[in-house]
Amino acid sequence: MSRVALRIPTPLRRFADGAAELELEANSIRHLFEVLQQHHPELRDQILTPEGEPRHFVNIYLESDNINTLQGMATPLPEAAVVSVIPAVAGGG
Amino acid sequence: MSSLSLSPTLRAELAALASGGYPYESCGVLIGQRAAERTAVTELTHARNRNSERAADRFDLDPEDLMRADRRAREAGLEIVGIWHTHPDHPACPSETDRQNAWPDWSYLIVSVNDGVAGEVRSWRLNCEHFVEEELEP
Repeated sequence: MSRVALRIPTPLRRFADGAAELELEANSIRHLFEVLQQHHPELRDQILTPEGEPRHFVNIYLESDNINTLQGMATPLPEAAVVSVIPAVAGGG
Repeated sequence: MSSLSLSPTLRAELAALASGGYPYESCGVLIGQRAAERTAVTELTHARNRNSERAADRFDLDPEDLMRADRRAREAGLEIVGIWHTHPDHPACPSETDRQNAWPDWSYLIVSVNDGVAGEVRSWRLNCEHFVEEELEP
């Protein structure tokens, strides 16, 4: 099991009691969100669909890599890894 | 009423980035500090617009640029406090597309660029699914 940091963007911190970062123990991205479910279920539901896949309006990064370019939700987590949730940002006039 | 402070130096930087991207939409990230209803921008970044099909009236901020800005902000003890983007030849008011894609607790700074010249700058924040204008300081 690895101890990892989950970085939360400002718009989602209201679902994590205002925390900017959470320290959790997990061995893969999927496991990380299973663990998150136990502590902050609302935050987990903002990030993943009921089927456990990332919602289309968020991106998940392990260090500098989008997990879509790695092994997706099955991506293993090394010790001291940093996982970032990055909101999709769009618009236009 | 919430407020957003942006120094004259940052305003000039923003105007240059906004004009430089004309006739396409430009976008980027606002980094700073928030305290209750008052937000202070201390740095802004330029991000890539991934929407190449409708770059004149849409933007899709590259998530890698957002991630880099987030890292930079955290390392400095700051946070991402909002997003800026331009409206080429349109007022600095949020569109329905802006509203549909907006996130709560961030400021949305819009720069109107007319004939390549950056003009009006206004800041907005989502409140119960509607945009409310913020006071821009100074």
